[in-house]
Amino acid sequence: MREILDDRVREIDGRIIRMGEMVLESIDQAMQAFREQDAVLAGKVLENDRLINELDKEIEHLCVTLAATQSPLASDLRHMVSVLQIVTDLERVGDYSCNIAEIVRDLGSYRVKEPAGLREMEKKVRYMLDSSIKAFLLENEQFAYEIAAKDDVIDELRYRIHRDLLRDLKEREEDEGPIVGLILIIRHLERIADHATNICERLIFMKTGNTVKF
Amino acid sequence: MTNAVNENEKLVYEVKGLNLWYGNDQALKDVHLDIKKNEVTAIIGPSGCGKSTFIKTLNRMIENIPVVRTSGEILYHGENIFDKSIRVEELRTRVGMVFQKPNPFPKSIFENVVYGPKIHGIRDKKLLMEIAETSLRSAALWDEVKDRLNDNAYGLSGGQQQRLCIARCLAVQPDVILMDEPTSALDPIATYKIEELVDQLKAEYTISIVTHSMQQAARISDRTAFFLMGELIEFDTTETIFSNPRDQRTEDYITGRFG
Repeated sequence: MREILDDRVREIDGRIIRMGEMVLESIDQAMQAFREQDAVLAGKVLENDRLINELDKEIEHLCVTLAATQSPLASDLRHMVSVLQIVTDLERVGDYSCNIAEIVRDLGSYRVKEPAGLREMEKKVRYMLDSSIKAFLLENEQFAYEIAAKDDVIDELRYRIHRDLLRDLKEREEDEGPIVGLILIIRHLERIADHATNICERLIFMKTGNTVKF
Repeated sequence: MTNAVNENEKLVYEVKGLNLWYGNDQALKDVHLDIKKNEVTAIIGPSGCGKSTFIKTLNRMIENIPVVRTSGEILYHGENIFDKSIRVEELRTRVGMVFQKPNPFPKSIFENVVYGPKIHGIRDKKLLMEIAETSLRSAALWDEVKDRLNDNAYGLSGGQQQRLCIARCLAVQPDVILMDEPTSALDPIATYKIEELVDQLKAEYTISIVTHSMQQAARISDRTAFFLMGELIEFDTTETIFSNPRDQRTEDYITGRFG
């Protein structure tokens, strides 16, 4: 009985790894499309989101089947519930990548100056998300606390970039289109970090049964 | 009653330091456990862990086995059931039992239900009929048997026979019902009916149920006790036991890692 259950759980975890990879790729491509003003690549991000959504549905289906056929209890039950929440987080991250890709398309051939700190923010957000998925798969609770603590740095970076962009808008009378686009992009990146933090919360629940809020 | 305090605290049983031996083999080790009024307490654990022994001790049924020795206390409404002043027959009237295999008497449905009241001296036919109807209704069997009360109980299905045994148990107006794997011989629908019944009966009775089915314990009980090799490992709300047990041994058992 345990072997069947373990096989099914491994199958689900394998899908989580795949979904994590796809979502990280969607962030990378969306940001690359922004830097290179590549509308084709932006279109690819939107296209690939369909696959992420399909994987979300697939994992949900596997969890329902697991519940119906294996009746998971205790840590197995908490693992399954956490997976269901994590796929929702990952699916939302995919949506934020799409939002960024849409901004890239809307900006078209506008000349956009990359604000200081954006690359650093992107790197840190990506690291948080990647690490939170890894921590979940490794069931490393301590790692979860460390990753979640980085969310404050992201908030701080976003605040700084946001302030600089508004200053540019006022003082230099730059085009408002790209500025609004950039403000939205940093907002979406910050939200992705929030979802990484959620994944850390799910992991702590899975390991301890305690609900924490960062 | 002398146990007014306990009534207020709603404790039906307080088991304190209970040990039990079959000859030289110790089957229960220093068990401490409280059973609350109008709750369903599930007892789970692998075969041979002492769970059936434990509930059979609650009405001293275990003493039918000659080599049994016990120590410690079991307070039932504040009184130690091992005290010399306790009349075992009276205790067993107050604390009824339903077994794994339905065990109706080879008599009519009606005679099965009124067997206990008759032994207690009730002869009035009208009263016996009332008792039979009330008990069968409480056991959710009345509608299925009301037109054939004089038929032999053996003609009933397994699930019906088990509900008849519950009705027979209710007919003597018990306070506690002990159930030793009451659905292990029944199909899923009959099992479901018994579980529904347990849920209804707890409004008026206190129930303790031994079950091999973790899902059953999770579905119907308020508290769950996990026994392992005669020891009570963990006792908590059912929700905690099945979602986040404290003891690794409980976790390992309910997730199928052993047992």
